[in-house]
Amino acid sequence: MNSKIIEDILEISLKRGGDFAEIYFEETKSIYFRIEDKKIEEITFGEDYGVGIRVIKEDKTFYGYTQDVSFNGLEKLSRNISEIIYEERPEKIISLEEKDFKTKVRIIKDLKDIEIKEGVDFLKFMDEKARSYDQRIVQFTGIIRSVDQNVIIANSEGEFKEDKRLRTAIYALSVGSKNGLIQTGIDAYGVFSGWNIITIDLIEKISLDSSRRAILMLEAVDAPAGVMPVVISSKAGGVIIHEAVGHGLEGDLVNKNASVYAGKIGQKVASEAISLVDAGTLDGNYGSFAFDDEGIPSQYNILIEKGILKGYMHSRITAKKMGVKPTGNGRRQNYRFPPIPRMTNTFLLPGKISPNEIINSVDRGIYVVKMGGGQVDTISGDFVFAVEEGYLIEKGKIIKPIRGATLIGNGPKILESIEMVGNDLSFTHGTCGKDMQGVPVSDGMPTILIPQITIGGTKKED
Amino acid sequence: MEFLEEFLIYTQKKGVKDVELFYQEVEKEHISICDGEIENFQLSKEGGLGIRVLRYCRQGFAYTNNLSNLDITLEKAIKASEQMSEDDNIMFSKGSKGIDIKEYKEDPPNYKKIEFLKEVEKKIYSKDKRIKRVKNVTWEKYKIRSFILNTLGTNLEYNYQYQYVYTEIGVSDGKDEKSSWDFKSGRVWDDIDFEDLVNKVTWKGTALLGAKSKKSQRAEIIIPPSQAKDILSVFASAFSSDNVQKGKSILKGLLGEKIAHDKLNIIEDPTSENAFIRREFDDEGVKTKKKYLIKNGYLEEYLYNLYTAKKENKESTGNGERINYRALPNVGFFNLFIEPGEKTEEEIIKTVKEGLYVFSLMGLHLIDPISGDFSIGADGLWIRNGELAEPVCEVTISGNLKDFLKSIVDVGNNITFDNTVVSPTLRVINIMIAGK
Repeated sequence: MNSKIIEDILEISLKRGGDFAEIYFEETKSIYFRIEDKKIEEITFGEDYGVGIRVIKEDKTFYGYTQDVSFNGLEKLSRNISEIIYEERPEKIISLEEKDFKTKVRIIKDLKDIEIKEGVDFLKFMDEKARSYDQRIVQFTGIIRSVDQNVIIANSEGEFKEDKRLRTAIYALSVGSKNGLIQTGIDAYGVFSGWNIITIDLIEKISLDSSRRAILMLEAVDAPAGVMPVVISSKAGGVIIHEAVGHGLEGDLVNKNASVYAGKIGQKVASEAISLVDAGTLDGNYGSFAFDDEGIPSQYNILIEKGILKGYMHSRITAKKMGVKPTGNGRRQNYRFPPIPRMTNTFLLPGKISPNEIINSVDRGIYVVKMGGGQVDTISGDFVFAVEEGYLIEKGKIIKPIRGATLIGNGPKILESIEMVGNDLSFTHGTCGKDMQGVPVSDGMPTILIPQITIGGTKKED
Repeated sequence: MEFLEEFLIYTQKKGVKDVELFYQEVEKEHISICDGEIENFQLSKEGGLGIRVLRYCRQGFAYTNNLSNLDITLEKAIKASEQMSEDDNIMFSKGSKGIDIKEYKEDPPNYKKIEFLKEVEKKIYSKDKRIKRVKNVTWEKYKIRSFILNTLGTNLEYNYQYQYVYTEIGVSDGKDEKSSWDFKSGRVWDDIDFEDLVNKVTWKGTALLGAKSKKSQRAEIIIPPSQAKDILSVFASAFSSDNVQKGKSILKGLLGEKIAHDKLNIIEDPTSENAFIRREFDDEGVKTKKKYLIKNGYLEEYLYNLYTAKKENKESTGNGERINYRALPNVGFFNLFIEPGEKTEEEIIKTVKEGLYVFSLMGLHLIDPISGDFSIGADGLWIRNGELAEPVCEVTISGNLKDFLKSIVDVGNNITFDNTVVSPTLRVINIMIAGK
């Protein structure tokens, strides 16, 4: 695809009166390995490519995609989507700048260098390790996935960018069974890197951790129900920050006044112990990239500083509406979707207290070591989370594992109540869903204490 | 599709004995309205091919949407097969031939749909002064056309389509802020009950204002169809023979046992005229049929595809499902539902002394279908002496799906086949509600 064709298509796209036009090319190759029932059940090579064309007129987005990348195919698409804008306008001449290629990844092993045999051996090793942990492990599923995504973005302002992103993820699910009771344990690891990141030590740890969790849950007691203090370990990652606060700081929700944080820049929205950052620039984190999916370079954005709201996460459209610069948060699942404001790597800055001191401060409560997924209602800020690995704390000591717990609460209220923030920090990766689109993200957090939160458990607190 | 037939012949020349091609075309339309204007308008059409090869009892798979390079995709599938575990249960359907093309009534033209959706947004705002924000009104439509061809003589073509409208609102009375959402779906535009969407979403949002958490207790819950179908879809994976065979189902070893109340019947029937997506063939080319999964409370049958059936020397139940051309066949369902009972929802509510009428459930995707443990967020109205009373929020309902099934003591008569999984209103007793 040469730049002359792109310029022509962008010009055609604006003919019906659009203010801005953009072409997004994507070519994604993936390899996926899965072991289950002690068998290699799936090896899949995937190839997905296509072009998304977007025309913006005032606040309206017109979007379409195609796999027909010929001039005729693209011309037809751009006419179809802009047809509904009625205004005729004189032709705007577009000339693209030199293409700017950047990548955040050091390419050591590309997808084409992957030895399939190696992937199979890794999975067999994981299966063996996970099952040898305990004889009560009755099933194991292991997945390794590596994705190579190339994107080129060109727009009617003349910007012309290219980014290459490699992501690799490993997933383990162990099923434990004892006297008819079934429990599962999960561990996962995802990183912004090629296949070369996978080492024997890494996959051994993941497999053992998933089995350890499944066995632990067989021995766990039912989680209590009621309001209690909860310590969340840094090892649990920052999914709670992502859900409870992060989504509410996304520009589209703020613009629509569909967020509890709308109109609160400069105001105190959290306790002084809270400073929140979203940064697509971090090295090796799952949610990183060089350019976002609108061609804006990734950035380090301070969202909340010592409890004061400093800014939101924006795409081009939402930034323009609020009269600020885009923040490098315009992302899409793939060429099938228009970009919207999304998180990248979102994390709470560490404080000064040691994690042990935080645990010791709790008389009776819950200690969370691994979080499952979560969900938030951004309008009210209400959220819910699953606890994958949790323990009861009594008199400052961790005593026994609990199962079936969820945390339910309100984001802004929780943020105001957090006083104790640990001096540690770690990240977990995930796929964040919004408006039917999933994008890779990571979330990080120090160990924190939430003084009061509702635990949904099966056992009634007495 | 001619190119598929030609390519199948090409694979034979390449010396791959067993090959299956699964080609799918998807057309998508999307309109969302915000503040009386188009927020997002999308039109798209795409197609892609998944190639499965079977060589020496080893399956290889690769997919692409670059149809100009299919020989490379074929090579990748072969390469993958070389490292797969040997498994003589993997099989393709034999000599399944047919065309199952349904004609659907045309939707109104785009400009009319846009005007109509703008009206819907206006109506929501005009329902109540406390409605401060309609996040958007989104309509989406999918048209799917699939082709299955293999070297054992299978040659099938089928289609289906569906569409839905979704809205989410924020309400405020100056003291409290709440939100609510609602969703309506259908096959064609005329199926969608827009008026009910407007009424439901505004009622739920305004009724929740001033909601408070409840003291933790055991009580009944009444789950209306929109939420009951979501719980049923999570539970449905327990009927998959694949999960049963792998020890990943809470229903393992319970065939023929009483696992639910006498009144409970669960059916999977893609052949029904009522089905949201009626299917003559599944995605492996096997004829579909009607099955009782639970009959009068007894577990009758699991769902099978070709692979899981062969493992037990059984016939496939026609439940081979591919979520798209990028995925291998799994065990799935096309029209799964709880058989309706006799009472209306109002009559069921009348029978409840103390309980929660559920508006929305939060975190359904957090339920672990393997262990069956669940603990999800809920809001709604408290029921006292058969009447809807004060609003409730920030509570969780929890338990295990196995006990949950036994606790469903009554089923409403209100069922609409507007999804692949549907349910009438359910009355569930003795559920842990955790709050303050």
